[in-house]
Amino acid sequence: MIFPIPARGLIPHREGMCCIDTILSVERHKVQACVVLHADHLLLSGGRTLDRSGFIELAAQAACALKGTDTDADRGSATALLASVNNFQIYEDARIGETLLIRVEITTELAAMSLLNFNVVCGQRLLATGQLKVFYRAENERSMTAQ
Amino acid sequence: MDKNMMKEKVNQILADEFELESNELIPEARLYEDLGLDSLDAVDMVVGFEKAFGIKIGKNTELVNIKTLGELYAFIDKTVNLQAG
Repeated sequence: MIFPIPARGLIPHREGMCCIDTILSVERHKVQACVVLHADHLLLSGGRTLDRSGFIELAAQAACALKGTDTDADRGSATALLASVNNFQIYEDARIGETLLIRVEITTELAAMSLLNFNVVCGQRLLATGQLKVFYRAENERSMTAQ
Repeated sequence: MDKNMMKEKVNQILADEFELESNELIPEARLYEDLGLDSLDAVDMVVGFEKAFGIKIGKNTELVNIKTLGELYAFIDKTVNLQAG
């Protein structure tokens, strides 16, 4: 897979709900994604700054892309069900027009559950950090469940 | 590592992380039904054990099937010994 690539191909979120633009890189347990906060971005909620809970959504969507490229598992895109958020810290708001870099790293895995650290930066400014607990479900698992 | 020391360490992690009382931590205690843990807690357990024992549990699915504290002791003991060797 050659990066950068549009996020839409790697995460299950569809038009309008996809909050990240581009996957910049993926390593085994790390992903970097970015988004430009255009005026119509879902998480601006019509305001001038990103809704503060939006940092979590950005990280969770980037986390989906991480498993979406897990070719070892041969799973295609994956649904990352957010189970919990810990140690969430906001240092600065993200503002309209800014380009945000979202970095997510898996620190611990247990079966389908993963613990991930994330941070969001804009240039040299650290905006937010936190830890997510995510349950990964592959797209093909979901299809089988639906049958 | 001595088995009693290992058990004490496991109990300490469970007590600290999940606010369990020491009298609840008996080998027959079922992790989910008796101690009230769930799959989210299991991830925190892994973090605690990896840090405390210097082991890597990672994607070892054996832990997911463990039902009682006694089985958990045996799992940690085996993992510590395997990875020490």
